[in-house]
Amino acid sequence: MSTNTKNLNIAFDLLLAEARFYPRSKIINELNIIADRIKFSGKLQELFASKSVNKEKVKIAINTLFKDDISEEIFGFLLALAENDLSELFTVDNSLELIDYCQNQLYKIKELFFISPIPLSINFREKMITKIKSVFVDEEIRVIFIVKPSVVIGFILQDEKVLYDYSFKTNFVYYLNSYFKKKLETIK
Amino acid sequence: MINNGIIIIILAVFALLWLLLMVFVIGLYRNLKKMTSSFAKLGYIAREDTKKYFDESSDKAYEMNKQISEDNKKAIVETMEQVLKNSSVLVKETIAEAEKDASKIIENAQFESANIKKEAKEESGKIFLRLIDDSTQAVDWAMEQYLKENYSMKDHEEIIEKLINIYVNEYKKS
Repeated sequence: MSTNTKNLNIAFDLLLAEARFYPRSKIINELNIIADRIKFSGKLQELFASKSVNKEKVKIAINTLFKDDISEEIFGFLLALAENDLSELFTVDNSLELIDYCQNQLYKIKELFFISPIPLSINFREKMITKIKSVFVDEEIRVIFIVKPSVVIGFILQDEKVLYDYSFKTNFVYYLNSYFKKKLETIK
Repeated sequence: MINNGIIIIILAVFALLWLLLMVFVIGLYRNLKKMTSSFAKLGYIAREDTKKYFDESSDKAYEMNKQISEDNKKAIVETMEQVLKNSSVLVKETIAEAEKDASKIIENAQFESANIKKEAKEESGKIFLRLIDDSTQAVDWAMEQYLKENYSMKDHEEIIEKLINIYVNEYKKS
C-alpha cells in the first residue's frame, strides 16, 4: 500500500469518525467547498502543504477560515487531519484525489435515514444503529439521524429504495381503524 | 251364569279396545309433539339465520330469511305429503291441524324477520350515530396516546425502541 493510499485510508477513517451521522451528499459538498477555498489562496496552500509548520498554527487557520461556514462534523474532520499531520491532503495536488476517494468509499456504504420527531441522545442512536444493523447483516451501513417534528411520535427509516414508516403521522389512521373495530365489536 | 259370562266378555272386549285406543292416542300424541318441536326448531333456525346476517345488511337479512322460510315451508309440505300418504283419515285431520300450527310458526318467523329488518335499519342508524360520536372520542384518544403535552425525551425513546423492535422482528433475515 502506497503512502498516499495509506493516508487516504486514515483520512477516510477520520471522516467516518467525525461525520458519523452526517449525510454523504453534504460531506462531499463541503469537502469541495474547502478544497476550492484553499486552492485560491497561495498562503493557505503553503500552510497546508508544509510539514514543518506547527499543527496548532494550521488549526488556528482552519478555525478562522471555516468555523462558521461548514458543519461541525466536517470542521472536526479538518481539525483531525491537522492533528494527524494530514492537512496536505487538501492542497491542490491532493484534494481532488481525497474527495474522489471519500466519495467512492461512501457510496460503497448503504446510507439509511432515521427520521425522528426529536433529537436523540448519542447512546440512544448507538442502540438504534445496533438494532438496524441486525437487519442489514450482509451490508455495511451508515445511519443518518434527521429530526422532523411532523413525525410527532415514532420514527421513519428510509433507504434508497424503501421507506419503513413507524410514525404517528401514518399510523394514526391505523390506530383509528383498530379503535373503531373494537368499538363496533362492543356495540354488536 | 250365562248373562254374567257375556257381560264379562263384553267388558273384556271393551277393556281391550280401550287399551288399544289409549296406545294409539299416546302414539299419536308423541308424534305430534315431535313434529311441533321440529316446527319450532325450524322457526328458531329461521330467526337465528336472520340474526346471523343482521350485520351484513338488513335487506339482505330479510331476503335471506324469506328464502329460508320458503325452504322450510317446502320441506314441511313435502314431509306432510309423505306422512299423509301413510295415514288414516283421522291422522290426516290431526296432521292438518299440526300443519296449521306449523304455518303459524312460519308466519311468526316471517313477522319476526320483518321486525328484525325494521330493527336492523333502526340499529344501523344508531350505530352510525354512535360511530360519529365515537370518532370524536377516538381522535381524543389517539391524541392523548400520542400527543401528551409533557412527552419527555424518555417517553419518545421508549416508543421508538418499542417500534424499532417491531421493525427488526418484521424485517430481520431469519
